[in-house]
Amino acid sequence: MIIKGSNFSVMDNSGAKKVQCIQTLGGKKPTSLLRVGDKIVVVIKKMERVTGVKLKVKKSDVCYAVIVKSKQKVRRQTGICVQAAENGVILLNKSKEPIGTRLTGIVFKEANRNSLLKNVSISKFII
Amino acid sequence: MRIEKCYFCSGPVYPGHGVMFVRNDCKQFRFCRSKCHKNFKLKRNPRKTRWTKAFRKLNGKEMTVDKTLEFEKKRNRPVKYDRELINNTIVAMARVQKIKERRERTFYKNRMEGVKGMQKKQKLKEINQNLSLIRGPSALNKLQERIKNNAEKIEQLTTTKMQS
Repeated sequence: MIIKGSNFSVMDNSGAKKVQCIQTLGGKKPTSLLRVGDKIVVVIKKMERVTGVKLKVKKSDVCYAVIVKSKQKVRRQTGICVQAAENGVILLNKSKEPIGTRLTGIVFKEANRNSLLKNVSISKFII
Repeated sequence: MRIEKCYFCSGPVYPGHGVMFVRNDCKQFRFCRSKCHKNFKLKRNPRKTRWTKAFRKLNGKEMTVDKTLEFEKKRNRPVKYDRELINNTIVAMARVQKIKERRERTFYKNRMEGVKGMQKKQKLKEINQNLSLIRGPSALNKLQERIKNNAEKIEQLTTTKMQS
């Protein structure tokens, strides 16, 4: 069950590791259940330890994000129910485009609405 | 769309059935029903779980080496559509299934060879054991010959098994 206040791990190379949802977008109430593909506002709780590289985000930053995988089953038209081991997001900037340039974890196809991830090198992780 | 194999019981997963679980390292596991999914979550080994196909094949309870099993293999090379080829395959599928069933029957027969004799032996042994508890000593005298016969039969069954 994903609602406002849920924690996520980050599936891109932006530098953030763990984030928390603080606001729902797209006419969804804070108590309404979120799915893969929904956009949210997150705060960065934990960063990855990276040295020598200037990162685009830092701890306690607030930014947009899109949910890319969930523990909850996602039903597809082909008749398959897909389920991941954890909930995950990808960080977005103010114009709602991906901050990272590369994926580091699994992304469900449902998250790629309107070819959101066209500038992110993916292939292997998209399922 | 294709019929996949269940990770746990290696049964068929038809479209619309079961769940696909994706691990963090991108490995995909398909399960035909919640029973298999639950057993996977309990971290049970399919090779040690008695009702799975993996266990049965490992312990010689099912046919493993046979040419009919090779037809079931997953092929990733796409084939160009050919009407005649498809017609032929549909005919062949039924034929292969028939042959497979026949071979499985003979395999089962061979596997179960000698089981009947063993069961008979066990029953005879049970009859001969502690007969004095059921019958009186005078009645036992009458049965003496029968008990002897049973003992001979048991010996015979053990010797025949040894020879085979």
